[in-house]
Amino acid sequence: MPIVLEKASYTYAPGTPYEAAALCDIDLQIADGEFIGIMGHTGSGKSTLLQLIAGLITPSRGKVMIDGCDINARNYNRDVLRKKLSMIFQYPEYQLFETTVEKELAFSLKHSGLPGKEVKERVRRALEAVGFSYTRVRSLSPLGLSGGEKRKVAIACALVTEPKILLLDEPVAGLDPRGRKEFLEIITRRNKAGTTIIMVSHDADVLGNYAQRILVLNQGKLLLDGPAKRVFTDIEKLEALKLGVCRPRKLARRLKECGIPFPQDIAGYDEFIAAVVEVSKKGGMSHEPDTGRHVYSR
Amino acid sequence: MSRIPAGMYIPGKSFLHRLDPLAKLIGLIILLAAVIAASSPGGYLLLILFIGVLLALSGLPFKLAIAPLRRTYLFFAVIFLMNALFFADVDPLWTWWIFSLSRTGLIQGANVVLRLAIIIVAGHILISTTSPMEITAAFRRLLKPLQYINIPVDIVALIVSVAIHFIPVLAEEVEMIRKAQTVRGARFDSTRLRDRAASLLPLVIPVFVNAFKRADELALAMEARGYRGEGRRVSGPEIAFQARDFGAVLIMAAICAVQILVL
Repeated sequence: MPIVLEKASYTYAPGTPYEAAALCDIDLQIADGEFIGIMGHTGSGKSTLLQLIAGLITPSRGKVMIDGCDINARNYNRDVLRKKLSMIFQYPEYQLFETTVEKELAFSLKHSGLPGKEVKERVRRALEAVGFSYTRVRSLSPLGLSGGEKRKVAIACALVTEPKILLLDEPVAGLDPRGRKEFLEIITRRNKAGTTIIMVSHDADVLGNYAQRILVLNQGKLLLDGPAKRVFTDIEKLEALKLGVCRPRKLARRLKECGIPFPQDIAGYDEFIAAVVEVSKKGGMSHEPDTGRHVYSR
Repeated sequence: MSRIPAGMYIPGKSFLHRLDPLAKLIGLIILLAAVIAASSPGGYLLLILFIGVLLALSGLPFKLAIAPLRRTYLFFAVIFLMNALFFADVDPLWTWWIFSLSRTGLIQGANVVLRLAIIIVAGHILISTTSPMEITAAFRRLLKPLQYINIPVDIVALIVSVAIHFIPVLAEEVEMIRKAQTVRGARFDSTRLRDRAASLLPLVIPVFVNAFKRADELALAMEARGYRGEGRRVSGPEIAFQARDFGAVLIMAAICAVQILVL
């Protein structure tokens, strides 16, 4: 298994009055090419989990293994991890510092040992992947760009190393609907090309539509873990925890409450539409124009 | 935040926590005078004992109280050596090239290091037992008499309070950007000086850019809420000195007096 967490725990500021357990005995296995969504309230340990996987913090107990190596072992070469894994933080545009966009992206490749020509080529590819024209933006100052463009440059900085694993911490926060859609399309394309995506988000709709597997964290513990459809099936449990539920799943429940035999293992809009088509074919939904209401036959 | 940044307020209910912040501030100033006056081993012993008593009264864990010393040991080492090796003296104990080790130099070095260490620990005890709000309020009360000679005390106090409030915010931001740049390959933990120096720019520039942006936003927000530099502003309940506050200041003054007159 490429990413394995064994009983990983993390405690903030141990031995002080600010001590707080952020994660408790997390067992987790993630295969190559998965698209994983992480849900949970503020303080449930979502960001801590990402930082553990990124090797930014060391677990208080337990192990984090990537491709069979304990990344916190003394003899582990961190440069290997940095080449394999990228992370996009919340508001990634705050990390920009170089004088030109091209240098900004090249910074991520500084220790890669790639020849200059290859670096240039990768920078071009990464900029084009986020929808920029390489020749237009390469010599602009990243700090002088608009908010949305800065965000794109920061995303390109994470893509330029062509990582095998991409971690995203609330990446769509503060983006307008169009920027959000563009971003999610970029990420989905990466995932289709084989990159493992692990995304933390508050937005159940985003997770339901894009993630294949969903982890629900609550008070530092892994509460639910499974395919998106199955996790959202347990809608009562999620609502009891005051966690968001994706809209397609809510619609499916409404239809069921109206007496329509509608499947409940729904996470994304595509699945929802497919189910509507399926149920209609069986004659499960019919429309009576006179009353303007949906009626049904069993 | 994986470790507590130096100078963070640690909530508690100890004697020192409950003491009037102004009494603590005045006490610290008197203590500074006592430290400067100290010159004999007896004097330092008295001060160190007194700091120990303060520590016991504060209820802070010992490790936390001396944390700032552990972080600055290199600074102390350099100061000690500078004094010990470069003090021009008539009869050096040992000379080599430009260095000359002397008795007076050694004593001078020890003096400076001890004084600094005591001041740092005392200051650290103050900020660990007093919330930033309390410190600002005490600062304003301390400066109050100055407004009679047309010094804008409220504005100065506001500047100090904003500065204090931004310390944890900036500390958190530094931590966040440090992590972001680490993922991008900056080598903050490297033992090689070159790597460390090279990773400074990616940290410092974003922090500065964001700090200026924050400052602009704060100014805008304050103006939007009607802040003007003039007029009397109310901030929390007024506190008055109690018997224990007078007592604390008197004890401090007594120690300072002993220091100057006796030791």
